Amino acid sequence: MRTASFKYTDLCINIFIFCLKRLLSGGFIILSSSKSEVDKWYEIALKAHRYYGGKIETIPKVPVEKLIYFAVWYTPGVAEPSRAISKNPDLSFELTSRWNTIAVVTDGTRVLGLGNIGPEASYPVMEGKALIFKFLGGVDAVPLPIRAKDADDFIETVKKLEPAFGGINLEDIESPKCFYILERLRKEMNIPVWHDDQQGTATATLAGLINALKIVGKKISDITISMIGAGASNIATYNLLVKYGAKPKNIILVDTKGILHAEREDLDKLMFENPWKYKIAIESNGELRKGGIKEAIVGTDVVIAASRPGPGIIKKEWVAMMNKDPIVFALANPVPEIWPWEAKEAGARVVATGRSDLPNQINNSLAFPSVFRGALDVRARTVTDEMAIAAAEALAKHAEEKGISEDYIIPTMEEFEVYIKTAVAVAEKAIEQGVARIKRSRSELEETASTIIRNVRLKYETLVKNGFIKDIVQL
Amino acid sequence: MDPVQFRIRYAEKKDLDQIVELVVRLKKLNEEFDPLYTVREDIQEVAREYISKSFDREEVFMLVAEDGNKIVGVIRVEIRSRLFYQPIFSGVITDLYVSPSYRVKGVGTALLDEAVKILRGKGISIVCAEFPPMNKIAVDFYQKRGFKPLLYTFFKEI
Repeated sequence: MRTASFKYTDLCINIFIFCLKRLLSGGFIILSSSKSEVDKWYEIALKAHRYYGGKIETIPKVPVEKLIYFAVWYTPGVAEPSRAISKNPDLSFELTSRWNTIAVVTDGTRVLGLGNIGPEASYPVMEGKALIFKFLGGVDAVPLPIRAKDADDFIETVKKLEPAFGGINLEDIESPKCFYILERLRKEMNIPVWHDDQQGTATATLAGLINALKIVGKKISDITISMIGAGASNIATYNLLVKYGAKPKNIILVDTKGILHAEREDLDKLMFENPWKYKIAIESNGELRKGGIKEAIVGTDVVIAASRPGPGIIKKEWVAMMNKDPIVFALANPVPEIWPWEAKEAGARVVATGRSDLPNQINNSLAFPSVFRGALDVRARTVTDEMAIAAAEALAKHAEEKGISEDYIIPTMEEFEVYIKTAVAVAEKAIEQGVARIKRSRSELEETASTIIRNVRLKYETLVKNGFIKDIVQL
Repeated sequence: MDPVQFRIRYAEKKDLDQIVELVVRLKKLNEEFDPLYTVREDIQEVAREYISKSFDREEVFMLVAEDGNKIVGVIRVEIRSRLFYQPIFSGVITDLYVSPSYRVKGVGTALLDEAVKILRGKGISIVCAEFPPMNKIAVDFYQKRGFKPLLYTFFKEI
C-alpha cells in the first residue's frame, strides 16, 4: 500500500515517534543512560518548543475560495445546522467537528516524573499527546490543562465540556484522585472518557501478556501473578486482568508498605483513603501471603512491575525463584525494575519493558490513538472495559499473525496497520455492546480509519514539502 | 466473590482475646477522622476491661460472627433508657466491626439483623448506632438500612 512518496514522511514519522514515545512513556529521553545525552534532549526540546511556538494548530478543511463561502460556513447559512442540532443534539456528531475532536485534560498534579507542577507547566505534555493522537490515530485533540481546586471541581468542569467534544482523554492526574475522577466521569458523561495512565497502560500490558502466555503455554485463568507497585497503572491493570479471566485470589500486589493482604494493619485506613486499592487488598492474595517484593514474586508465573526506576528493584535471584518459564514485565521508566538480560539470565522466558530500545515495549501509545479512533468512528458513548480488552486482543493478534517470539510479543509503534485493526476491533465491540451511536460494517470501519489516518500523513507531507514545517535539524 | 461460611452467636468469655483485637482495630480506625479520636497508649488494656465487663452487664449484649474457630466480626449493643421520651428503651450499637477479609460478604448485615431480632424479642422498638460522623462508610451502611440521624454530638476544643 505504501507508495514511494511515503518514504520521506515515514522517516520523519519514525524520528518523530522515536522521540515522542520516550516523552510519553516515561518523560525522559535517554539514549544511553548518560546525563549529558538527556541534557542534550532537554536543550533541543526547549529550543524547538520556542521556535515553533508549541506543536499544533487548527487549519480549515473546507473550501474558502471566496469570502462569500463564509455565508455557508458562517452567517447566515450556519443557522440551519444550528437549528437542526437544537432539535437533535446528537446531530452535533454529524454537522460539526465534534465527532473527531477530543480534549486532553489534566489538572497538572502528576506530570511525567515531575510531580505536581501545575496546569500551565503540563501544557507541553498535553500538546505532545495531542500531536500523537493526530499523527497515529487521526484524532483532533485539544490540550486542556485546567485549574481545578479539587477532584469534584475537576469533575464538574470536565462535565461542562461535554457538548464540545466527542471524547475526553485524562492525563497525568495523581492517584488515588484519578480513580475517583475516572469512575465518576465514565458514569456521568455520555462520551468516552479514558485515563491513559490507567487504561492505556493496562490495555498494552494485557496485549503483551496474552502473547507471552501463548509462548509459555499457560492460561490466564491458571496463572499466579505478582504485581509490583499499586499506582494508577497497576491498579487498572489488575482490574483489566481480572475482567479478562485472571483469578483475584491468584494475584499478589505489593505497594510501598509491602504485600497487600486482608489482614494488613493499615487496611481500615486504606478503606477511606484509597477504596480501589482496599478492594483489591480484600479480594486478592487468597493465600494471605505477607512480606515484600521478593516474597510476592517467589512461586508466581508472571510479575508485572510498574513501580519505580531500577535496576535492582527486582533481583535476579527472585526471578530464579519464580515458577517454570517466568514472564517478567518491568515497566518503570526510564530504567526498568530489572534489566532484561538479568531477568533472562535468571531464567525468564519473556521479558517486556517500557523502553523502545529494548524488545517488547509495553507502550500505551499503541492503545490510545486507536481506542479513540474506533470509539469516535461509531460515536461511542463510552469506552467499556470490554472495548479495552478488544483493543488488547487486536494488538496481540496482529503480533501473532506476524509471528510471535520471546522477543516479539507486541507490535511496535512503527507498525501503522495495527492502529487500523485495533480501531476496528474497538468500534465493533462498541456496536456489539450497544454503546455506539451509529452502526457501521467492518469494511466501512476499516475504510474510515485507514483513510483518516492516511490523510493526516499526506496532509503533513504536503505542509513539509511546501516549507510550512521546517525540520528540527535546521534549528 | 467466594461465599464464606460464618455463623452468628452470642459472644462467650473464651472469645475475649479475639473480640478485643477487633475492637482495638475499630477504635484505631476512628483515628483517621479526628485527632480527638487518637487512641490512648493503654488501648489494649482498656478495651479488654471494656469487653470483659460487658459480659457481666445485663443491659449489654455482644454477638460474634465466627468462621471455624476464628471470630471475624463483632457487634456490641447497649440497652439504654431514654429519660424524657417514649418509647423508653432503645438498643444502641456502640461497636460493630468486621475483619477486612470478611467484608462485602454480608457479615455486618447478619450481625445487625441478629441484634435487631434480639432487641425486638425484648420488646425494644428503636435501634441506634454511634460512630464518628466522618465515617462515611458507616453513614452509608446505616443509611442504606433505613437509619436516620437522631442526636448530634458537637465539640470544640477549649
